[in-house]
Amino acid sequence: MSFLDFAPAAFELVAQWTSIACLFVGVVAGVIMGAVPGMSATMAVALTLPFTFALTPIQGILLLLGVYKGGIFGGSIPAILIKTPGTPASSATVLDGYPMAEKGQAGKALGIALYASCTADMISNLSLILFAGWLASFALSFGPPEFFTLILFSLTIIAGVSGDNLLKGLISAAMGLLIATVGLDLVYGTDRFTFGEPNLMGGLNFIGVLIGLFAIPEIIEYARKPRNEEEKVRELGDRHVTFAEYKKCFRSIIRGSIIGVVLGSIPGIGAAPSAFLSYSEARRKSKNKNNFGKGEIEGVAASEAGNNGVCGATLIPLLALGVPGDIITAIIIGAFMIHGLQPGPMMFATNGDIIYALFMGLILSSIFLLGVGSVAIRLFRFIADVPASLLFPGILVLCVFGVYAVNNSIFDVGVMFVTGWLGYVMLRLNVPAAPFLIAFILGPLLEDNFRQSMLMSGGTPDILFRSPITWVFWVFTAITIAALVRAGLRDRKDKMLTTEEE
Amino acid sequence: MPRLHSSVWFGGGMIAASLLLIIFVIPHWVITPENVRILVLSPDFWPYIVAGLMGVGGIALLSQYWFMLRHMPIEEEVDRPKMGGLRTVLVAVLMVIYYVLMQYLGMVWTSVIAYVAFALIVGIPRKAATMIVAIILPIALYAFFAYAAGVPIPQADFLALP
Repeated sequence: MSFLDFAPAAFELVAQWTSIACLFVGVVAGVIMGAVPGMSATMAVALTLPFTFALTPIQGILLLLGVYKGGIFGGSIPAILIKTPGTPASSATVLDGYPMAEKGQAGKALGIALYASCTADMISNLSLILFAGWLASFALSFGPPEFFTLILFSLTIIAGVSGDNLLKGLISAAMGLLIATVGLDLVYGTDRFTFGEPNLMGGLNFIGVLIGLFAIPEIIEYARKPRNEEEKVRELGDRHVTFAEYKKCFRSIIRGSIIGVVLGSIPGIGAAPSAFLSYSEARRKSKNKNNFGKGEIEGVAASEAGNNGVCGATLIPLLALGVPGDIITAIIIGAFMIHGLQPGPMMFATNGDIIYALFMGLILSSIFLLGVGSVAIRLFRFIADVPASLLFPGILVLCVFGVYAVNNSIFDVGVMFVTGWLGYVMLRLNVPAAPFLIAFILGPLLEDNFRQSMLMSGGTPDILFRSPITWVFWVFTAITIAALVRAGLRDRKDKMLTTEEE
Repeated sequence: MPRLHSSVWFGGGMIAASLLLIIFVIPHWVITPENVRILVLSPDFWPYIVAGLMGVGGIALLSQYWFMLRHMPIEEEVDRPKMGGLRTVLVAVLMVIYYVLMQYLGMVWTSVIAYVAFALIVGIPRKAATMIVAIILPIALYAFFAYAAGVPIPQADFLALP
């Protein structure tokens, strides 16, 4: 069935006032939470997830997508005004955004950040609409061996690029795979690591593990090292972005959007590398390259286009293949699962109306972002004034209520606290948590596809090399590992040379 | 005692965890039926593979440290917080008490206490605001989850909310 077959039902789903309200509330909440120093878009999406239980699938997912999009833009506001990126993706925005604020052009920097974000967001959404269906129809020919090699490739790349050490990333992914085996065995129904505890038979609760890994470590770290609450917020100053300035930046915005789309559609890369690549390309190609880093409006536009360009594109592997590209889409896949939906090629056939309704909602979210972002820029002073000493205990309470509400289980709250401390230890040892979470989500799928392949072949591993597609993924995996090892060795060599020179 | 690199802690920890899993935990806590004909389909095959990967990863991490990182200085934390360790321990204790107490006092009143306790641990610059938020936030969350989402939030017998 094609888009035209599903379009009427999809429009009916998204055109309800409750769906539109959820999307709007999501964008507003995302911008606010993204703009609060100390909160990230990931934490915002994770904390919103429990509030989707009471909603229909389309309302819940639109709410989360709104928070995601709003959160990524919201992160640029403190990056520009107080040199504190609200999200890692906004780190590149600081390079020119803050110098512009120092020159009294904070409003202009925020304005171009908003316009670049919305333009890139729209381009990213259009690429999602164009490519997801095509990729899904291609993926329909995948069998268990193809999915096994695809997931293995995705995990390798996520483990490799999430931190500064490939080995730590791979071990983190292995830990996630191990935790995913807790519960009843998929084939024989026997206990695995349940330790006689009935609450563990269904496996560890995804939301508990997720919030434990991404919110609790931040709370513990804040307790260990409370932050100074007297950040200096800049005045907005010159607020108006002229059409000529937007036109001047347009080429960088389009380039950044395309970089975002390409990098976003590859699992694991994420928004921060895209923003930096977009920024460096803009600097390389710009007539004002000497002004970059000193308050160049084109630098802000390129960074924001790069990080917002990934938003729609990260949903391409999620919706078409069922593979989350980053942590936020991993959380969104959780929302699908909670509502009994399994993203992947089959979803285009079975729940095409929801998929196309999401596409329509995403287009609408870009328009909402433009309006909400304009207001948020003016109101940032109030958002930034939320004291961390009130915010973090509140997040702790919110985490407890949210995790309990998933299964009405206090045991899940305990799981959240334990994984929170595990996440904190990982944070202190510089071990990335993203591969852990994504491996935890993809683990059952990886094992299931492996075992199905082995059942098909009677236990011989040849089946994992049966088709050109599996070979492509094996070769990609090998190339990824080789490239990451090479980059790691080069980095170490540089560090050793620097140490010797000192 | 000399400080150790994070790779040594993590690598060593992974080797120990891997050995513990392979020698003790998997044989005892992964039930394998006797009628498994294909080894790779056995319920314990995947856990053994993953535990093995963790061990190999740990060895690789230690080797990487020994051959490449040993002579590099350990990065010291700039601006180490005073009493940071004590506050971390207090948060751990708070979480244990929070978990246990909510089964007796209910989620709302335990959350009020936990909010205030956390604020006390990190220092309360705004006492009135802290008390107001400590009471309003859990009650607002209770109202949302109990009435909008239909979730039965655990309550205390002595002071149950409507």
